[in-house]
Amino acid sequence: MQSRTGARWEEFLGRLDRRLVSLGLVLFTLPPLVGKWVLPLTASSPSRALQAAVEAIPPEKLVFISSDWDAGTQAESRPQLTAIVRHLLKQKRKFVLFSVNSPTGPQIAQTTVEKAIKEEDLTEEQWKYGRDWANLGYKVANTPWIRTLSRSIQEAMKEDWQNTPISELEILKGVDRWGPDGQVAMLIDVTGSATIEYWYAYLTPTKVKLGLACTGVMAPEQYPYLDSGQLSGMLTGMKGAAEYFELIGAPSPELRVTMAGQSFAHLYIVLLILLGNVPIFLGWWQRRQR
Amino acid sequence: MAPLNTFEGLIIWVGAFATLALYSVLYRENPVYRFAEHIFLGIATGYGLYVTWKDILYPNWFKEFFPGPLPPGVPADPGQPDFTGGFWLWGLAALAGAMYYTIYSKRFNWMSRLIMTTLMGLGAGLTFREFFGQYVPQIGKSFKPLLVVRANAAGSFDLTESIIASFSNMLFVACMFTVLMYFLFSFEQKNKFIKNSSYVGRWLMMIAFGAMFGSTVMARMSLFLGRLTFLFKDWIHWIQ
Amino acid sequence: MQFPSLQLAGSEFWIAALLALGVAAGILALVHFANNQVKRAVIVGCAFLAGLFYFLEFFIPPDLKSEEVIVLRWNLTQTGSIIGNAAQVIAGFTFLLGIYNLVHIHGNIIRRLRGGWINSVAFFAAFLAMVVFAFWRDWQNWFDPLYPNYITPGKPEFIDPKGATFASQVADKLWAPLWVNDIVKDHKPRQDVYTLLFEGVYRNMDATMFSILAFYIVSAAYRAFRIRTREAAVLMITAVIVMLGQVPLGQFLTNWIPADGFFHGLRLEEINQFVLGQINSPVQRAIGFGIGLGGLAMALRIWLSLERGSYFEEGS
Repeated sequence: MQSRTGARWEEFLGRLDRRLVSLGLVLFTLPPLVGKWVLPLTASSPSRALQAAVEAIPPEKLVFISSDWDAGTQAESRPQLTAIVRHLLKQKRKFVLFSVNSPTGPQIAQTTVEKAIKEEDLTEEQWKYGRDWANLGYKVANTPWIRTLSRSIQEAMKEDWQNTPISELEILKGVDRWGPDGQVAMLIDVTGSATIEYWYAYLTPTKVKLGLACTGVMAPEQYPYLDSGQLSGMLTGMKGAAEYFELIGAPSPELRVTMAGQSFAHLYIVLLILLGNVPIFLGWWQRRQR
Repeated sequence: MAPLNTFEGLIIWVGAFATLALYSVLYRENPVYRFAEHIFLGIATGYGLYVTWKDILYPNWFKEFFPGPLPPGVPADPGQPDFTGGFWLWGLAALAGAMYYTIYSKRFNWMSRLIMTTLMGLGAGLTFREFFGQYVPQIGKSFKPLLVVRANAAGSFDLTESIIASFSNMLFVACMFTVLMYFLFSFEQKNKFIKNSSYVGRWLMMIAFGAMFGSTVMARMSLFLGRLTFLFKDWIHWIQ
Repeated sequence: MQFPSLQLAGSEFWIAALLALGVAAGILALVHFANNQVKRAVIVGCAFLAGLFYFLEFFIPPDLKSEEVIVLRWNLTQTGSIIGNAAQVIAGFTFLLGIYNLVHIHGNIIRRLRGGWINSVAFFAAFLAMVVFAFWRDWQNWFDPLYPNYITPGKPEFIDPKGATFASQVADKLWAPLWVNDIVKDHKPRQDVYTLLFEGVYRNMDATMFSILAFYIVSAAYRAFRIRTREAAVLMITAVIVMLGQVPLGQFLTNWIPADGFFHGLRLEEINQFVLGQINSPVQRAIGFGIGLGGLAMALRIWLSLERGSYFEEGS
């Protein structure tokens, strides 16, 4: 039987206005953001592995970025894409974007990449669209088409996101195959959904390197693929992006501060879980007393 | 505050009002939220139509199907037609797509089932390739050596590293084995070894689910922080 | 351009296209007037043949030189490419079906003036605004072959935003005014209505909608996450380790443990990596094998039409 104190707690929790609790989240996370608090940040091994994989790409080969996120996950995916693109720009690696499963993907990826190019102090002429990078737009992720793409890029892709035929894009001249024997050395999936499953299934046999920048929700499910070597490296959510900025020598003060805010948000959730369990802890304690 | 006299500023102001209208549901269900929700739905649907045409139907169907002139200044390749598109058989793709629309008719809906099952059949045929691409490499990598010998930088035997690597592999194999046991022998078991293995497997799954929950919290909080940053940094400039 | 012989123009194109459509429609009509058993046989047969195609394309070893699968002079690999692109087109047409559904539902609400009809009006207004301004902006790009030259610096037809005749050239050559299609390259973002709708309304609303989930988690954290069993306790302890170990706060809490010392494994971020890499990873792999085998079994059932339900049932 529940003790009187436990019952009182239950009653208190039941009456607790959820709007106040929501407001608590705002109040808990704002101080680190306003006060620009910075906490230590150590890069995890999957992030380091991704950096190493990108740096091992032969300079003449292309990187494809499957930018499969929309504004719903932009807080995580946008800094990830920015960090990866800035690394590619520092490494002078040419890259091609495309999006499956996310209709808004091409447009938000385009603005993200344009901003990253600016942040790397490159002009539009120095890192030219069509010659050094391209955006091939949105495709429906159905498996027959993905099978075609895994076999021949030229047959699967017709035009870029502004309807320019790919035959007019210098960067894609003669680019058709994935993997060590082809022209594309790596595919990095920046994603807010399970699109990486397509690439495991269809691109693993081509031996092209796969990188992943996923939301926090998806990360635990990807560890078996890191272990099997199907995945060369991985960024987990906003934290992965913050780590990657540190690794490539372009630390993002803004993201470091946001990570402090994230820390306090987590702390708030932990405290709420503990609060919710007070009646149960009290029950245990009283049983032990008896 | 973001300036209202620039286009960028206008975008931020519109975005801030849109954000606050949707967040008003956190106070309680209200007409402003409902209205904003429908605007979101309308915009998303309109955008979907635009992208479907621009990125899918226009390049993959319209330009392939209908004959059109070559781009100005581009001569025809030798032996190739002096026009683009004209693949008349692509009309059948439109017919196949149109068959979906019979779903609303009792008399004709067998056609929608025909096209759906055909596409499902294609997907089913591809599953074999998918399984081999996605899971077969993992099966191979699951057979880990349980005793690992590691050498240090000088090339001699490193006991600590060897113990850690061996323990790591043993733990990995044991965890995977017990969880597989849990799934394979989900019915009543009398064999103690199987029973205990699947019991351990259940506990290990709790650890994995805990990790998933923790990661989910991280993801959701990031999304919230993104909005908070937008409102307090981009819009009202409280955060510099 | 795999089949140039199948490319036609002018009246020949129209005759061939209409003939192909007519033949296909004729075959469908024949099946339509047949009984339910025939219809079911056609449906089951098509599903089987579709599955068989990719089954053979995978299991038959490809030609070593061309890396293509050829059976009795039939190039399965090339056919697969056509099927892949056709699948894109068919998927594109199905999206329109989803739009039809929404328009139908909200149209009915407005017609009958049901409660909340003003919201349905908002739906239509937003839908039309997006469609009109998006299509109006890009219309010329799709249907005027000269348009790329107007916006490409260096081309003789380029409309230079800094040129003295910019306004008159825009009026003469462009199909939309600048507030609908801003072609000034320096403007980032482009200053037109479409950009305002996309960047201002759509992106922010999309991001906000998803972020509301954070508040559900907050609510669930103190109401639903109760440690009533030992399993729940294990789950919570792991969740707390991962929640703290993934963020700088966790690293801050155990920063006093030397990162290169013997006890570095006790730092929260290390424990977090151990949980994710050494325990979560094999568990996820075992679950993945279950999902993979289940998917394979399901695929077999669909391929061979053993699956019951509305797709394969007679006369349903």
